[in-house]
Amino acid sequence: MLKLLKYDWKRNSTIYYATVAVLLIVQASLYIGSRKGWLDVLVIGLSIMAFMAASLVLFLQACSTFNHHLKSFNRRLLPLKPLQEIAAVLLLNIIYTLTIMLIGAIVAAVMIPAMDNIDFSYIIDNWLKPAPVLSILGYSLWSSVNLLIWIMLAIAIARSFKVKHRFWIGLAAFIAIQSIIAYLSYLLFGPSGEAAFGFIQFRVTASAEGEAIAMMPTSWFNPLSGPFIMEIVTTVAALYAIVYLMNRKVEL
Amino acid sequence: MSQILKFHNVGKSYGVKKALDDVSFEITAGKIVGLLGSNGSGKSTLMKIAAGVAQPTAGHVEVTGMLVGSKTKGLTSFMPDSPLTEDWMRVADALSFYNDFYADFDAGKARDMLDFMKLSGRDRVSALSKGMKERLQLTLVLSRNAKLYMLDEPIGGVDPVARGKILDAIVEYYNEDSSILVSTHLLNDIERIFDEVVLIREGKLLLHEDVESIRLNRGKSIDELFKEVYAEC
Repeated sequence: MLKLLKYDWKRNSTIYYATVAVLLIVQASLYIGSRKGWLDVLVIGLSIMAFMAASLVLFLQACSTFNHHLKSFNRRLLPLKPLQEIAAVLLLNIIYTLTIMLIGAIVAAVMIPAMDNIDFSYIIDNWLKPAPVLSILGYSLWSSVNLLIWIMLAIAIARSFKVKHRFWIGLAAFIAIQSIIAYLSYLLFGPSGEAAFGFIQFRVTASAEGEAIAMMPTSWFNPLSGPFIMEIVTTVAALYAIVYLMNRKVEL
Repeated sequence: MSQILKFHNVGKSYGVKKALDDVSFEITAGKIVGLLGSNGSGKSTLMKIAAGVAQPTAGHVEVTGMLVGSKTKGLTSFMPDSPLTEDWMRVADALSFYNDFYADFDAGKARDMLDFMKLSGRDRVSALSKGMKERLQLTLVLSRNAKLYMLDEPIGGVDPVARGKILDAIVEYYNEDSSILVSTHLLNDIERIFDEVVLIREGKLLLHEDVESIRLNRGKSIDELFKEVYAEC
């Protein structure tokens, strides 16, 4: 698995380093702008957009790497189990996600003290503690890995067909599977957002305008929450399905 | 002679089209076997199934007695008609890739073959000509001490000088405890290296016979036999 990761890393290194370099340059420019009197809200908005764009580029790169595994002779001929190939791509994605998080932490540490017009004391007082930090880290990584697994399943389904428009088959399968899981989750656990995630739980509050999700987490980690267990079960099922398709259906 | 490759009543369909139909044959160790057929006859499909990158819809395939799967991929060295390398690689990276994943990769043999093929480890794969890429593919595939080598059109699209070089390399570097299955329809250049030939047409096995017996019993060269069998194709 680590050997596969090594070659996936080398294959993607140009895009990875370019993305990180552009992100750092944008953040440095925003910091300089902030020191020169740009609106703090504008700087934060642009900074978040840059992080989202960089995350998207690297996430798509991880998806593309799995697609490459399925369509390339040099990968499909390797005497490896499909799970090893899947794990290598997931590990690559985790490294990409951690890179963005690390840069995010550094940028926040540099930017926040330089901004005088926004009060960050609430976030600093409530979120900069081990439990919230670990929960946010865990939740972000889990979300990224979980989403990637479902996209990998959609790619494997698409590559199981030898037709011209198989991309659309994969997309339709992704939407259908996600809709079914969301519906099952709704049936089993109801519409409440409370305990909606294993890592961060948001409170649904009633107000005059209707239901709203409170931004304040009620607790930071609950591995026994129903929806979280369901996510794990469905994700394991998705992994099994990917392995089956790679062994039986995806052909060159 | 130990059995290396065995096809048991193998069929493969793509929708209504039958790419292979009830194909059964066996290859034993120490043989160079020509897999002959016109375009679209099922040669590549047959090799892909034996290599484990396509699944039969009927029957099964064994390599050294094991059903084709991730274990047999470690015993089979397949040169497809598509690249085995990636554009970011240099020749040395491609060799390292094989060395990292295949326990039977022989780095010394690979170095010898690079010299023989006039390739340098520093060459960028993306900058190689088609003929040089074929030579690199062959270097990667034959540098393994595999049980079964399968070469899909190894001389298709290369000039006559490169063809001679590639055929010499096949004979020089293959492991004699193993077998080679070579698909081609360019028989003039290649028939000198075959011990046996397998002829398929429209997915059906027509003939599996020793080259010497074809020459003695039928009084024909393989090229002449091919032209007779595929005349109407």
